[in-house]
Amino acid sequence: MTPLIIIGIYLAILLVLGVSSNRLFKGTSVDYLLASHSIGPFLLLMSLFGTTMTAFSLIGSTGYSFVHGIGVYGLMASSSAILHPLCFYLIGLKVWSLGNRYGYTTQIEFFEDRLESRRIGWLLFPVAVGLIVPYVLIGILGGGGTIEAVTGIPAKYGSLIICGVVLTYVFLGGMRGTAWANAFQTCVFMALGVITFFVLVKGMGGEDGFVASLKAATASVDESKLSRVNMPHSKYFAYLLIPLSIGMFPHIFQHWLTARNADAFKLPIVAHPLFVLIVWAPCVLIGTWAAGDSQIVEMVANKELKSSAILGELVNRHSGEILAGLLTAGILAAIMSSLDSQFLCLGTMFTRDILGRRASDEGDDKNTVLAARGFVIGVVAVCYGLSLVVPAGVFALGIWCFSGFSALFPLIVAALYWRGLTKIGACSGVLVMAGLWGFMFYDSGFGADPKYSLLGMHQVIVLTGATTLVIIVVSLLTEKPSEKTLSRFFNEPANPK
Amino acid sequence: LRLGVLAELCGDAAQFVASPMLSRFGTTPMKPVPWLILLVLVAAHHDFWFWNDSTLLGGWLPIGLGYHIALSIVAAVFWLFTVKTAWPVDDEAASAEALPEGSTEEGSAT
Repeated sequence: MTPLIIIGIYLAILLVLGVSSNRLFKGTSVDYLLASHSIGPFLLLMSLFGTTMTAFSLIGSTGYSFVHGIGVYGLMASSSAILHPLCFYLIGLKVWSLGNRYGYTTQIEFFEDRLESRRIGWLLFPVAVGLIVPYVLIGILGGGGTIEAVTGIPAKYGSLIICGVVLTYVFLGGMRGTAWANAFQTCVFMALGVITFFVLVKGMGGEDGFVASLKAATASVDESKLSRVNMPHSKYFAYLLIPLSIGMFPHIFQHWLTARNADAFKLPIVAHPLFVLIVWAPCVLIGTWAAGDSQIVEMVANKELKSSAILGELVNRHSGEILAGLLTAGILAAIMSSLDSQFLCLGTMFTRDILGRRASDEGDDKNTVLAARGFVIGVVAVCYGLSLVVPAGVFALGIWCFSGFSALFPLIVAALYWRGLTKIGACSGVLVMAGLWGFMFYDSGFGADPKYSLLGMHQVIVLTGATTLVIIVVSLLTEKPSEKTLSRFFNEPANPK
Repeated sequence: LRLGVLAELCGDAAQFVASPMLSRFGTTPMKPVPWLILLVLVAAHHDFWFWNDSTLLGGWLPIGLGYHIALSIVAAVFWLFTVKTAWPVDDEAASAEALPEGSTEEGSAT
């Protein structure tokens, strides 16, 4: 009962944050969607990092390390430490600059303007939403699973509670509320993550001293999990493309546009690798140590425990009730700090890119916000329904989602740095990616086959390679945007006139 | 393909490589060093030399994991270096470019 009360208090705090930020709401869509471009370095760091770290990072990484050992850190974390800041630097800064200059709110607005085509928007919208669905799903699955492991409340009810709380504070606070909640939740999950690590080391090692417990926990693990002896080089190499997906996440795009100025990016670029280290290294170690725990191994083998519920089970087993409640709140914080940005972004895209642009008066502005909320509730309801039947695990779903966004990375790079990109080239690339992704996802049993490959290659290689090739070849064969448009994006002086 | 299109593509590629870390926005001089270090970091990420090594540092930290933790710290130092020496946005121009609160099209509706 105690963990349930603590989780309840934590969720109530989030609702209070949403209400508080609502008091600062100016009633305009630019304030609701972009916090009036007022986010400074610290909030930008926390919101970008909190949005990036999902159920995938905490629960998925622990479960995947349980199966594959310490190689999971190199597979996902150290590559992200190098390449996520590259995306902030290479794409985020430029997007922020263009967004400020031309007043974009969404990724699709940028592409439509850059390529002089509304068609690219109509094409990108369903693709982006379709790829966000598995991303939202992993949050819903992870949240419900964690609550069930610690409190015994069935996952389907836990997921519903999480969705309800996040929807409420996003609706009340918009982007400002989301940024505040993200900062708060990132602090919570990082602080509680460190505490969790110490508690679990003590519990899993079972020795008096901390170092002795570390040694004991490691000693029980099979040697193959302490190296990458069972990890194929080709898979490891392919995963290097996965962190590039962040460059095309529509919700990260929206966060970039909230920055107060270019300097606000400096702190996120420098601190992001260290934050990744603080979150991922303990999770990978805990997952690897769990592989040496015979009880956990038996429960997973008997299908009494999903790999995505291992972290919750360990917390429940090795900490007291109060601590279990606090640590669960930390895990939920990481999950919700991503869901909120995704929910807000879905609403933004729907109203801006589908319903229409730039509300003409205050009444339209309010209707816009209402329509955004309705669409988000619909998508969340679909995701929740899927969470009840989906066969794949958190990590597998995450990789499928990231593979799709990684394949679109060449599109944003080309749009920002290649004058030769054409609307037909871009549309062809998106179509090829969507078609291939859909076929392979279906062929893999909707993500259920963890060793799926096409022509012996990982899906991210096939998708990225095919998309890049099509974008380049078709662009070379078709007509470029007008010189007037190109000059706006490539020759414009830094100071707006 | 049109005649010269390949040359054009190469020109665009060169412009891309020359733009971000070398200042597309402002006046920072061309700095190829960050690109070179980045390539080294990416290459160092594929550490085949520790692949099958399960040696434990301090009796508990697998060397493969220890190496990648160190690589994450080096990445932070690298990005600090890049931000200090090859910031692609001219600071004065960027300050002027940042819009005052509420001055966008939507904001002005208030």
